[in-house]
Amino acid sequence: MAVPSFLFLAVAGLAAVVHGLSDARGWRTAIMLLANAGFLLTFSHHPFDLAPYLGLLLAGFVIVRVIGKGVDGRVHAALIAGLVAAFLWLKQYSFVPKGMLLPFEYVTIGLSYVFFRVVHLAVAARDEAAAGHVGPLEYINYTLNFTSLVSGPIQAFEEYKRMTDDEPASLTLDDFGVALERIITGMFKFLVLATLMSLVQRHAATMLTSDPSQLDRALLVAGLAAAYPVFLFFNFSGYTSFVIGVARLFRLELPENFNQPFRAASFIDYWSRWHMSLSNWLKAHVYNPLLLNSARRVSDPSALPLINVGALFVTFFLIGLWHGPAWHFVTFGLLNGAGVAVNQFYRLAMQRRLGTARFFALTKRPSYVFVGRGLTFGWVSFTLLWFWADYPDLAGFVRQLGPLGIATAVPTLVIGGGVAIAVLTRVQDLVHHIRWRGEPVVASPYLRTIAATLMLLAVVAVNVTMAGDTGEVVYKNF
Amino acid sequence: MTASAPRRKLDRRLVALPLIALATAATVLVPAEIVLRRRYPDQPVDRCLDQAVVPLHGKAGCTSYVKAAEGPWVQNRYNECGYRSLSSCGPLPPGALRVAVIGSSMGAGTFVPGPQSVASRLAANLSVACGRAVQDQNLAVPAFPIDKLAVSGREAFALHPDALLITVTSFDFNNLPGTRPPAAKPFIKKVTEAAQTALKDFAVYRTAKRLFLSSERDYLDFISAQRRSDADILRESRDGLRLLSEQIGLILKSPRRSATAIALVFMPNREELARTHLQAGRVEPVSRALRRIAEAHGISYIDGLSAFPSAVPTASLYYVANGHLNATGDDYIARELTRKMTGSMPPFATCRGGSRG
Repeated sequence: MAVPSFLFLAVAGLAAVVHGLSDARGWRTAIMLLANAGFLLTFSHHPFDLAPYLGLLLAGFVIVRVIGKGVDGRVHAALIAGLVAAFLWLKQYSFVPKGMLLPFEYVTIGLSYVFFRVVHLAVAARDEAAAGHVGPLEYINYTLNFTSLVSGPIQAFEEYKRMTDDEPASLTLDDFGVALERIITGMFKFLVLATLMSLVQRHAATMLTSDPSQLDRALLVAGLAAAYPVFLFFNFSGYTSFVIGVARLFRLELPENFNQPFRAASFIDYWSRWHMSLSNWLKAHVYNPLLLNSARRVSDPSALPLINVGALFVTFFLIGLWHGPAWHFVTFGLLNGAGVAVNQFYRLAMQRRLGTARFFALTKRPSYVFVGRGLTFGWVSFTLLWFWADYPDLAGFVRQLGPLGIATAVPTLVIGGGVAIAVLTRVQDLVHHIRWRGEPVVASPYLRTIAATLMLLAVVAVNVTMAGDTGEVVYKNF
Repeated sequence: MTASAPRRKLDRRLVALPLIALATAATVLVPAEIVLRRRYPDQPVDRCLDQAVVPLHGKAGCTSYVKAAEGPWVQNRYNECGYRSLSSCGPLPPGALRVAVIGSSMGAGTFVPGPQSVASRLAANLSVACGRAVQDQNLAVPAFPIDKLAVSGREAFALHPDALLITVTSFDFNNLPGTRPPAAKPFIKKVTEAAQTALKDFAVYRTAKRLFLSSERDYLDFISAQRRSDADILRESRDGLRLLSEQIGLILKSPRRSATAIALVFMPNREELARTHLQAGRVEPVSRALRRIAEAHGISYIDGLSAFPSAVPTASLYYVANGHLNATGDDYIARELTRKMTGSMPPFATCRGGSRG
């Protein structure tokens, strides 16, 4: 079953109605269990293709309960390492010998996100009684939460438990309206805007084959590179908005994954706004432990900034590596790690040169923000080349462009990206400043209803015209 | 007083917001429908065809006008026998040849002006190639049922044609009488197809479809996304193919057949042509099945897919919204028919070959 889609919405809506029939925790748990199991089963085509998936879940549960009973640090680390190894094996990463892989096809939908939740539980189990004593139903509903199974967002267990046990989120009429708005906005971004950007990219790729002039070629390659991050944003944030809205119908508040990432004026800031639930997970379970452990082993305090850079590099290298088992994601990871490392070195150098207060003031200047956004967007577009193009494609671009073409394409991407972002953010800020009776007009429920209706019309038009084939969220593959 | 005020606000929005949503949709859709109907009027109903029963041919001596939304107004003139032909269905002038065409809307050249339709162009091309008058008698009508082909064939033989072209398209295999119900479709497919059927009379939907599917690249992606396997296609067409073969057998047994050369002509739809363009060397399963049927009955087979060079975008050959061949598409088909008929079908095989325009 595709997510987002009208079919998923219809089934989830029905489940939400049944879920809401009673406030009893047992009832809500049972309905969620049925919905979660049912959704997972829609991806199964033969009896044993869920076995590896369920095996990982079972192993995770046993590990969490063992850790919850009390284990020393080494055993804890070994158990988590075992979970990581099982995940890498099931996801068939390139470095796993082919002879060790399972000889049949099996379900891997959302396996990454299940893995993140299981590891989170395994880490939390040592210190938190609630995590260590998680019951089987609670464990299944948390790890297999159908609203966020396909591509997240990754929710912390404590938050999930709070909302399912003691403090479910309210579901007033206003809340329902906001949830519906998120669902429609999500579908609009995913189905209409992402499709539009995909068409732009495809059009640029087609024009490249028509032997354009050197200048046109450079502009087209810059356009190709720029279109993909925008497409990916609409595709993934559209999915996220949709599932957040759906989860809200079950009185669950999933964490946000995006905070206007193209407003970021630095690569580090970009990653604090893009796929935030993953960044937060990696910060909690990779960056912080790595930094703390490394810092403990070093006596010279002046080395701490370098250790920080190293920890950042490793964390963001792993973000890249997580995206897929193929070797071009290694390059993606290296570029991400290098990007944050260079960014951090730059910050350290500028703070040393200008002092923290002056550097902070500099980063607030409009010209600095403009250049920062352009450079960040340019670097993001460059790293994402390894998402949609393979090595032969990239070699082809380099050959086609030549040094002069590259020298034209790169500034075009950076400056063009900076200008476009500056214009859009300015328009957005202006729109938010328009007020009616002291309130921002964009907050008006009447205006929002009109906007949501127009978006829904566009979604229905595209969906019916394309005979229900709505495409997939890119992050489903990771 | 204070406790009741928030409750009144809640009630008002419960009514107001859905009304605003409906009003927004109406404000967008109603003017769009009106404007688009005026800008792209369409008239799919041919009043010269009896709408109460399945027509076997048009009304004798009738003239009507039809239009596809993105095409021109088309005059349909039916001769004294009720066939869409500019020529009389009476005895042939001395030395003239006659080609009869039977089948459904693709063979009829629905939505294509008469002189530019397949049958008329074919007759004109053959006249040039053969150096003598060649007449067309077009018995094909829209929605013609396959199970009545033998009846149409016998009617065509009464005209003493030199060649009979049995035109077939995959659409003819839908909704056949007395056949098995189609294989169960996924629920979402049924809902989407039902929505499309309900919406197809709306100009907004047809325009949206044209906008989304006019681009060749988008249509090819759309086709790829359909993921219909050849096995699925053959399964859906199996009953229609069987019925077609039976009808051809009946046509061949007709005592009126005499020396008429017969050919089975495959008129591909846009999806089939697009799939052929996507994959070089691909043979459409329906085309392969039709060739086998023709060989089994010992008649010629002309594959309409061969008519179109792969470089020609399918969007330029078909009406995007309703899927019929347009004048350009009919021209290509007519040229291919001319080539094949002057290559191997008596009495046209002795012609030197060539086409007009």
